[in-house]
Amino acid sequence: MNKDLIRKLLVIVGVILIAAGCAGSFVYFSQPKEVVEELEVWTPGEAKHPVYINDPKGIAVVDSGKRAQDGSIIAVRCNTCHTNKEANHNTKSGDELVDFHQKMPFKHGSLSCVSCHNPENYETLHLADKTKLDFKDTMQLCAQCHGKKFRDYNNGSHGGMTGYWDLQRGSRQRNTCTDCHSPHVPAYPTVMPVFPPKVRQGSKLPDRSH
Amino acid sequence: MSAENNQSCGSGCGCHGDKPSEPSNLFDRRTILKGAGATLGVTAFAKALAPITEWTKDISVDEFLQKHYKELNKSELAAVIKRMEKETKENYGREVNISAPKPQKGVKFGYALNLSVCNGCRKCAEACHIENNHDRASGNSYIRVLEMSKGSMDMEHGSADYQHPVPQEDKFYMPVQCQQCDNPPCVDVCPVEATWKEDDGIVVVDYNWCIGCRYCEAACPYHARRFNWEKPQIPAEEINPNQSYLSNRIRPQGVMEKCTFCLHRTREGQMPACLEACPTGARVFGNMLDPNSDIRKVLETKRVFVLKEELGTKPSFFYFFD
Repeated sequence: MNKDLIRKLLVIVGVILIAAGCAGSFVYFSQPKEVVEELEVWTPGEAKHPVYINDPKGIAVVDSGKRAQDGSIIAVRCNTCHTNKEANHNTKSGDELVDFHQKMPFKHGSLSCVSCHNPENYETLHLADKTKLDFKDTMQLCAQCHGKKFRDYNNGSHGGMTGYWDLQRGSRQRNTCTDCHSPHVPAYPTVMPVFPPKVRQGSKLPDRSH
Repeated sequence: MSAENNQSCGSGCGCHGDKPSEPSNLFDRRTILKGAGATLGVTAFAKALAPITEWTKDISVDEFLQKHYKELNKSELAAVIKRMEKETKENYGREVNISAPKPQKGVKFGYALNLSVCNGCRKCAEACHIENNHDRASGNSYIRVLEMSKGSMDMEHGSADYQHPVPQEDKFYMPVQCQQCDNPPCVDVCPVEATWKEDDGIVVVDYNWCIGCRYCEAACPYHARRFNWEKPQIPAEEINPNQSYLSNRIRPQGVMEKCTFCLHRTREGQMPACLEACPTGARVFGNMLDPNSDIRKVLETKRVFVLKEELGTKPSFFYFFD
């Protein structure tokens, strides 16, 4: 091949490459730019929605065991009897009760009745330093001894919740202590589990009972 | 012999290269055998391709040609969602609302579980089943609650199929679901990139892109992945109509799925369904990047640990004892 031919070939190749480059960039730049959607930004901020905590309802009453004609519970207010009786500061179990709410189950450590109930007004409670508490402030009484659990509750790792993790967008509902723990027998009850895993037809569950 | 047949190969095998070939007979043994073999082959081929005609009943052309979720622009995504809502109405008889919430910058989800409090009631697994529109007959759920003996955190020795009053004295209960790993093995092994980790930490699956090879199920060390062996069957009144493309819309047969931290709820700011169902409050969820969130307080004050830490998957799911 002589130099002339090589030169011609180079020129042709060069022209083709330049033409292809021009056509390609024309096509590329004439395409509509794709709009890249910016993601929303979430910033920590003040909670705009409240956290609702269930209230223990109303005035404390005791189920008398009797039922009205329509089946509703007949309940007795504490002060019906306790305004005209001397409080026994030593009662520590339901077996010692004689006149009413006998044999009431009670299993709460070594507490006595008046550890929590105010002997001067049985429709209120009291803290260890004799501060009076209404029944709606029961959580404070529980927190007095169970401070660590109350701290965990405030941090969201005890007691559960429904609603929103993001209080800027919605509110949250929480239990009070007595929603899950009866104050007289606070141990959480044993339950049967729901929703058992199903097994395929024909296969057996492995024996892992050891 | 060799003098007459000087064109034959001389090996005495009897070939007659010099003789004029006989007129080929259509019905000689060789052609008939070839024809029979070919017919058999064609029949077998047609039978092998027969499932395709069944698939065309379940899948429309639009769905077959659908692009990957990450490549859909807004209007294409809207069209896809509209088609899906229509198909759900036709197949399951329920009007549903499929959203496509985007992750938010500044949000990274974390989940913690209090092992001192979980009592193994499995209400979380049941809530997951209902929220995520799982096939009713298989009782599928993304959550497995393991009954573990005290002293070992080994998942492989936990039992998921206990059926007795809980909690038992000598056991503790550990629910396991997708850990939304920061280094997810399932994402690494997917041959078609149908699963990926989003910006807010959730590992998601595009059900229409997944080919159902189940490689991710093999790769996951926590057994978090589920496969749809059958087309999910759910009665219309039990369907949860609040759905989203990447999480709890009703999946087709033959694709993988997994816990998505209920992203159709959590990206709107709500709690996941398992947390709301937990009666003991063992679950804690929130945005790990928010210094005031519950999950941050747990991570900062409790001794948290993760499962199978030695595998380097970096889960976003933490366990702690009180």
